[in-house]
Amino acid sequence: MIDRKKLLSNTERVSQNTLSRYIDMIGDHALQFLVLGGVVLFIFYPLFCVFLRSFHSADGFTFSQYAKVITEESTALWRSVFVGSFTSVLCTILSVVFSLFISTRRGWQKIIFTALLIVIMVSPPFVSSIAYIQLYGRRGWITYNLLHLNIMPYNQWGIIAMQTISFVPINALMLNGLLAKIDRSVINSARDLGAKAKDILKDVVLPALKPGIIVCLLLTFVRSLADYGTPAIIGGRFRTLASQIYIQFMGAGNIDKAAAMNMFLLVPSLILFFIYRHFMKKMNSNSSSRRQDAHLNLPLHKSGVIGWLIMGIGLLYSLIMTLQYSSIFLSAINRTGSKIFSFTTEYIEKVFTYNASTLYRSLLYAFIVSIIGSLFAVIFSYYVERRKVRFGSVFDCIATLPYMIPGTCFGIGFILAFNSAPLKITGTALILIINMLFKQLPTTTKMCAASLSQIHVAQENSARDLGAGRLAVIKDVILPGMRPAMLTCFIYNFTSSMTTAGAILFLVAPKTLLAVFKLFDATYTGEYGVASVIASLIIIVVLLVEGLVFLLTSYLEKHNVSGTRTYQKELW
Amino acid sequence: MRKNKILLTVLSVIMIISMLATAVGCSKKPKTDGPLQIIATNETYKELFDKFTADTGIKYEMLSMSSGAVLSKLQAEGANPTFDVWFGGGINDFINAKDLGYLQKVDFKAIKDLNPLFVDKDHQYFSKGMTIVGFAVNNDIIKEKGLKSPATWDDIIDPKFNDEIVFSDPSVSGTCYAVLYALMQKKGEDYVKKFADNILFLGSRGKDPIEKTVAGECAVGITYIDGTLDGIIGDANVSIVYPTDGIPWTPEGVAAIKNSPNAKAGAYFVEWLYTDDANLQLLAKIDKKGAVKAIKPGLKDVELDYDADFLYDLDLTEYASKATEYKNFFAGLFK
Repeated sequence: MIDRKKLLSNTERVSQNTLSRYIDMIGDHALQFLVLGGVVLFIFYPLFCVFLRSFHSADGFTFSQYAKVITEESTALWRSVFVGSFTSVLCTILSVVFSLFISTRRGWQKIIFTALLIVIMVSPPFVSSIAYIQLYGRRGWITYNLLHLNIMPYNQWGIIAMQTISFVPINALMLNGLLAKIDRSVINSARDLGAKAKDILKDVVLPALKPGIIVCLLLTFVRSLADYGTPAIIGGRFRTLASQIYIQFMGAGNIDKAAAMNMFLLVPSLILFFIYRHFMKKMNSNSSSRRQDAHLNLPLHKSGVIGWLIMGIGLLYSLIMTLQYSSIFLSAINRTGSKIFSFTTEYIEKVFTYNASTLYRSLLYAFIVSIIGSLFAVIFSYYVERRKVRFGSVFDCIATLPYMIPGTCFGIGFILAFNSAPLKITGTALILIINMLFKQLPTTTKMCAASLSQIHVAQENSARDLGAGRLAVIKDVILPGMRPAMLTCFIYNFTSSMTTAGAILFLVAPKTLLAVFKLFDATYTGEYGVASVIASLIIIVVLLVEGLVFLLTSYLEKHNVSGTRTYQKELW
Repeated sequence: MRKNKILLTVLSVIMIISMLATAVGCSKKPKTDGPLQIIATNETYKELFDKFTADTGIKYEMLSMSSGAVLSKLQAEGANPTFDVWFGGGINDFINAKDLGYLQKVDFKAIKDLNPLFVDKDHQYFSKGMTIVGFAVNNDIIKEKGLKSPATWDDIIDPKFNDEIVFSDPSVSGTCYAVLYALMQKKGEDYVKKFADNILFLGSRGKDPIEKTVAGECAVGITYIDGTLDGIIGDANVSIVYPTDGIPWTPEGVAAIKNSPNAKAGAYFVEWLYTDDANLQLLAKIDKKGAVKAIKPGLKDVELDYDADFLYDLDLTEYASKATEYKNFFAGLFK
């Protein structure tokens, strides 16, 4: 006999199941629409507006801006390529050397040099270039006072040197990640078989770094093309395309021509992007996810000349960076122009009377951007890399665009796109937060993609087999598994929100003033003492916040507060 | 009787005050929608704007930005500008903004007291002062290189000053365009070629010359001159020289933006600024220079702090119309 009651409850359960599955599917589509649509609306659309603007003139549609760029700016374009090539090669070599240097440190040395790497990640714009002039200019403390040289830093070599040293940290961080993944047992067995340290370096370590090296070369090249700050401050007569764009926007007020110039920057960058995607996949696929000793057991001092060279260059770079940051800190409390040190609190007082509120506001916005931005990046790369949504590589390409163009252009695009109804958000805090979030997306999505390859598809599938919905998989498998990546994203987002100026220069309103805008303004108006105080404050505050977040997350990991780890274990 | 006398006195006092008020000539205070949005060249003008709030009850918010950037911002914002008042910056950017149709016509009584040289004929932009240009000279470098401190424009084209001059790009800096204009007009193309040959560093920011001179990177920087230089020079051994064969100069603009959120209050600010002399006196104090006297010659307690005889002549119409030609000529020397 059939139990009617049971049957009824079964059908009820089935219909409930269909309903919840239905809701899950809608939720999944909505989430997908939200992240992909967000990228189209807040990256593609503003840049498309810039593209349209490049055909604009007082008399309507025209190609004349392009003709102008080709006749007037071709030298600047070639110079950009020249500087970009040199910088990317030199910077990649230095990055490899420095990451090898750091990975092979142990004990207190490791702590000191890793701390230094984190400090130089927090590099407020413009101030570094001025510190460079103070140290190595014609009257630089090092070049003139110490070494009695009289060298000219205002040319292509100055730009290349400055870009090279300032792009190292992010490259070294990525390479460190790769070095950490090299299977330690391979190194140990090679050693057991009698291989010398220098041969292990040559035959095991460097080949493992190869895809990373290619990615470094490409990323640095693109970044150098889009960098306007360094050439604007130390380039002198030597102008690159990016610094010419900056001049057109900030000085000449010629946005039609600047828009056309940006299109010229995009073409080479787009080509490189697809090469980059190819190598990035390779880099992520040959990684091992085993937990192992972070220390690379490779005694450099036993690795012959190369080993000593790596140590020497690593130490020299650390010294250069220490000097640069000391010079920023000192300039905050030293009267500008004094020959010997003359202490003053004048600049500090000035900053606190005029600008204290901007610092709080910067912190608040940076915090919002970091939290939403990290989540957004994880979910975006999940849909693109794992769920393989249609046209995924196109969406990924769009998400990478903000990396390829100078920030000023991205900011102008936002005004063009969002200054009229129904999407009028200019002058609000919202436009700043959205702009920062999407400006940083290229890097955070790449970080997430790399980390996503560490979570096995099987883990996701078994959760599905056990009845978890699509949204539940994101919430309970992907997000917990991506926690380390989210921490890296958070730190990157936070640092960039506090230190990136280009895109927000045109978007800040009086009531949404940010510290980095004040920093830009102080540099622009020549108040180097004030600029140094703001830069120092930004560095200190960012380090404090990131330190706290780092401690908090490692505390949570240790005490297993959320219980996700046990859930994962049960799943297996 | 006595009571009536008091009443009469009170009444006449009220009448005199109200007559004075009309004589001073501020029109009726406009309604505002949120605070007045001001973009100024720097933050020190806060004191002046605070006085505006105290006098009129209209609150304000300000932002500092270079005038080239303001011009870009205006173009990007198009039909919906987000700010009301544009305060300070090279006059050529104001002339460009007027040609693009972004500025508002402001009429008020006190215009008749202003020197017409500093007022747009259509009353769309005005001047808040003038930037005058001279040399910043680093005495240490002069001594070390065995040079003679320059006193004239002719001195600095001497080949001895090769790679010792810092100047900014005239297409970026309004101040440096003023120099280029004056030199092209008075000294000619050959002079400008020699001048360009001696330039070590062509800055992309208006402050580059003074900064580089203070840092000891060059002997001479071609710079604007006002009291705020003291803060940049600090303890460096740098002196300011007014060239004896002529001082280039340019008016600094003020304008109310058309179609802005508080367009009427923006116009009211401009009117307020020029109507009460106390405002201009305060402005002279903040700017640490007396050039505002040239704009409103009747202004009391403010004196010109330069010898007006040394100033180069300036015709604003030609100043604007020659800009492209002169800038292109100059850019050609640096290819």
